[in-house]
Amino acid sequence: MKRSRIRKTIISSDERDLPDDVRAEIEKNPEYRELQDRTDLVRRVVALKRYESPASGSRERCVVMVRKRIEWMQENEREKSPESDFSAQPAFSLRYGLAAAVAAVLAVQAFISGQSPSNSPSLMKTGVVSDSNTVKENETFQNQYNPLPPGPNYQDMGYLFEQSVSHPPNTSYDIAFTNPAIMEVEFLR
Amino acid sequence: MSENKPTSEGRTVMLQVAERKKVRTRQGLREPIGSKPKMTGDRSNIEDGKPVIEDKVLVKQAQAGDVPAFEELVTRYHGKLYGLIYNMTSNKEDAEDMLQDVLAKAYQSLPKFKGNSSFYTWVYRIAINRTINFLKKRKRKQALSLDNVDDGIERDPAYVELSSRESPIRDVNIGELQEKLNIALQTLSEKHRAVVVLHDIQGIPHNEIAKMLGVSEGTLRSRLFYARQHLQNELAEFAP
Repeated sequence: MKRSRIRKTIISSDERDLPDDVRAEIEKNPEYRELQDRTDLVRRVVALKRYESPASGSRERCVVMVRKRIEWMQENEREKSPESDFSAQPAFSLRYGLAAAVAAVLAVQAFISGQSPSNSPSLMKTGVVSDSNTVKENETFQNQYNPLPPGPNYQDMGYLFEQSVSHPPNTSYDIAFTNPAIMEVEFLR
Repeated sequence: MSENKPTSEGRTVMLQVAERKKVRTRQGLREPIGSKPKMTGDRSNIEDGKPVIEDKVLVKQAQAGDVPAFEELVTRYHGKLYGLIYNMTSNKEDAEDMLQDVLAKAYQSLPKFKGNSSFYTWVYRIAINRTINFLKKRKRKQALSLDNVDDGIERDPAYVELSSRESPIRDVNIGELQEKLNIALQTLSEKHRAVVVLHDIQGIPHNEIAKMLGVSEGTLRSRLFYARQHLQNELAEFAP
């Protein structure tokens, strides 16, 4: 039997699992016996780590915290909309509320005056938007009386809504300040 | 009845150790983490006079949304899972936090659990994978934050033998030994550490660990060989 294989078997096995042929080699060769003793000793020293135990109450605390995390996850599943999380944050709701209000005012102004970026005189001058197209759009708008008419006018205004209302869902701030388990740990610290 | 009586030799050793170390013998010690690992199949149906509900039943109830049933499973496996994560991280705060994360994740994934393996193997697999991912993400090495060592260590036959023979462990205090062991374990890669923790500390058999890690027994033995060889060098002072 190869020397390297014997060594590998001795080190990777427990004493009771050793195959008979390796056992025979250990009996014959004191070098293998020494290796086997050393391996066993180190294994038993490492095994002493099992006497390290958590502080008392750790189990009960864990059960409570896991329950809180589960409740939090269930709540999060129910509230699919990310806006609802932000509404819980005063600073965020104020900022985004203000932005939304400004955007709404701008949209209403643009709507009332009928001046959208697509039919502004400057764009007409540069030839980006043709006069005939603008007339056609206005006719459609007047006939249908649609508060948010489809077409280039509305699409051009879309950036206002995107910038003001959307926000990154599930940011670390979002998670940290809405997770009751994390908040409690932070508080205890 | 005679089986319960300690032999005179054993009693002498115990007395010597108690005298030398001035150990305060205390009854009703906490069970050390990860000791005597019991497989789900080994679980008897009666514990402390109360009938024990099988894991399978609790899992079914938990899958139907019964949180208290899941909490019973948490209580059942808390010690072993905590031991695994703690020994992997050598940091008790990280271990507590990770364990909560693992158990919450397990609850969330329960609908996907088909029962092809035992709940014990399944939840261990989640714990190992999440702990390894956590350790990879933990950029800087966290300082050790260790649990208390149970007094039971002084009555452990291995410790008694080690401290009575001509070995440096005799002069090393338990706190120092604990720190050296944790530092040595942290020098291993996550995969090798997992094998040592599961087999050498928690005493889980090779075939069970292979299932948990999703590797062959050959791979497992190879990792164990490397890890033990490395630890022999790291802990050379205890096994010259």
